[in-house]
Amino acid sequence: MRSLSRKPIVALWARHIVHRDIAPKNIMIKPDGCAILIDLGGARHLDTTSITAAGMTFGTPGYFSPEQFRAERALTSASDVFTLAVVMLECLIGHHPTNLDQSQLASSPPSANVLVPGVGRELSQTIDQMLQLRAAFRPPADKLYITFQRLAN
Amino acid sequence: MYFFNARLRFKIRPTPVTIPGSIIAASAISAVDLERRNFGNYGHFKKKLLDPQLYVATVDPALDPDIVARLAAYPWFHGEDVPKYKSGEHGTRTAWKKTHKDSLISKWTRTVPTAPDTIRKSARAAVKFQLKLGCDEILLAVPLTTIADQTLQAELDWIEAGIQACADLKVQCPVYATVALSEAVLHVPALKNPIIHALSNHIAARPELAGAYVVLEQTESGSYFWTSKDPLMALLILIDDLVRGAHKRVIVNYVGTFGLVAKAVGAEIWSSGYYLMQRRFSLKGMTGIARPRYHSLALAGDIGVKDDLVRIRNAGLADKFMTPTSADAVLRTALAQGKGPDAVPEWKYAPNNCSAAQEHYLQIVSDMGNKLESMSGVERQSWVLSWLTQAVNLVDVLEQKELVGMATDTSHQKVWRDVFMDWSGYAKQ
Repeated sequence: MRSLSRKPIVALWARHIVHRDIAPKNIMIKPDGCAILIDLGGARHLDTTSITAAGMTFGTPGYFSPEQFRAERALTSASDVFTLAVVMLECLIGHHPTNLDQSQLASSPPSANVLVPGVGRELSQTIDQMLQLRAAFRPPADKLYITFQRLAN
Repeated sequence: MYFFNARLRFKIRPTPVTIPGSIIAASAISAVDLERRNFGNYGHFKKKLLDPQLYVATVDPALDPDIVARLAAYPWFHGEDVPKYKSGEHGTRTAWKKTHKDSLISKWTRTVPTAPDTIRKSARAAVKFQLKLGCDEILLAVPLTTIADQTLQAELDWIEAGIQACADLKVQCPVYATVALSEAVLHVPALKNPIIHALSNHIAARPELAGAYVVLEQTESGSYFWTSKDPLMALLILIDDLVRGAHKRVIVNYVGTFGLVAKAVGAEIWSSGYYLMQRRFSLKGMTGIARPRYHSLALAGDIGVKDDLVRIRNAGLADKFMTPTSADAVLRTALAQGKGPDAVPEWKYAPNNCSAAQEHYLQIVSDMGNKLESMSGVERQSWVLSWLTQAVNLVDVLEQKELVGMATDTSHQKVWRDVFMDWSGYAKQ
């Protein structure tokens, strides 16, 4: 998770790129345990005109951030932060936290504190913050990396 | 804290609590004059900010050619086309302005540049000018948001160009993105207004920004107060998103004493002034002839000086409505003696006779700005709720006793209280 939060999200956002499709199918684990994010086919640079039709969205159902689900077009790294938290929860509990119910994810996201109470307070709080409905309330990607680095150590 | 919304005349009468800073509107003063002002002469310019007002770029020169001439002389509107002022060549600054007024107005296109190179140059010019002026914080030039286009492409292009300019110019002070929202995009239920969350999302995601400088445009020009719920709720949600959510700072301008509510919700600075053009921003009308209005903190609004003050006094309610300051002492004495405001030259209802009314207003807002500053967040919210509840009660009294005419503000208090209560409920979720 440390490697995922740093390289894909922070580095992409530094170039104003949002991945838009952080989902298990796009995460590969290398032999050294480091996770890498693949498939930037749907990634979008903010300065480019969106080729997604109005009202449509790009990504994998069950892994949309609330703003992605509303088909908002001016996404930021906060959208990738949300979807990363969904993947993290899935890793921790062994199945998708809402059984791919996108509506629930976009209206009342699950809580790590409830689903995996034994995971540790800081990690569950961090995941819950990442799952905030209001994007501005999610932790910034650069700070997230520092948090994960501390948790990993 | 409260900042003075500065216009052409910087001089104001001293207030018991010194106003800690001012925001200068570019439309109020020509660049050639502003660059030569001695800010050290004024205590309320201890901190100064310049609002570049790119959001005024579409103003119609037919409405006010003087404003357009002033704006057009700033380099972020017309770039290198602005003729330089040289005292040896032009003589006085007044002569320079007279000479170039027509040519500056003729170049006014009523559009915001969209070409990347022009945006880059203009955004840089706005930052550079503020640095040269010695501004304590930089307000990035950003156009008015007038259409509910969630891509916010024009706004983001200008913000990015401003951030880049600040990096290139090695800006050390806090940088704020201007968020200028037209009322036209705010008349939707605020909780479901995607523009608000998209804006806060983008500002939150940019570590280079200290926060946002927020301005709301009223599409109707005549009112001193916002009386619609959705725009005000949108403002509070935006502040909440940025302050509580993203730990950014917010400066709010042109919402009058609703700035006290904005402060309670988390805004760091709120700016206003006595005159209509200092309390609200509208592209439809930016100037006019002012007459004295009596500001009542208890009522959270103004009382008509011509007739209503006397009616309130005659009903034995003066103490409930009037807010004592040194500027209204003579008026209160006259009313107590059974006289009317016309017996007091400073408060006589006459065009441009506003010095005492302005002094009174500034004493109230600076004092309240200072008091709120010393309170905790919970205390501020508690104070605002009781203030607005009291104001609503006073409006009820006025209506029951049929004491007011058109000159007293009674239409916004309930809206303000309800918006604040709605926000409080929302913030607890």
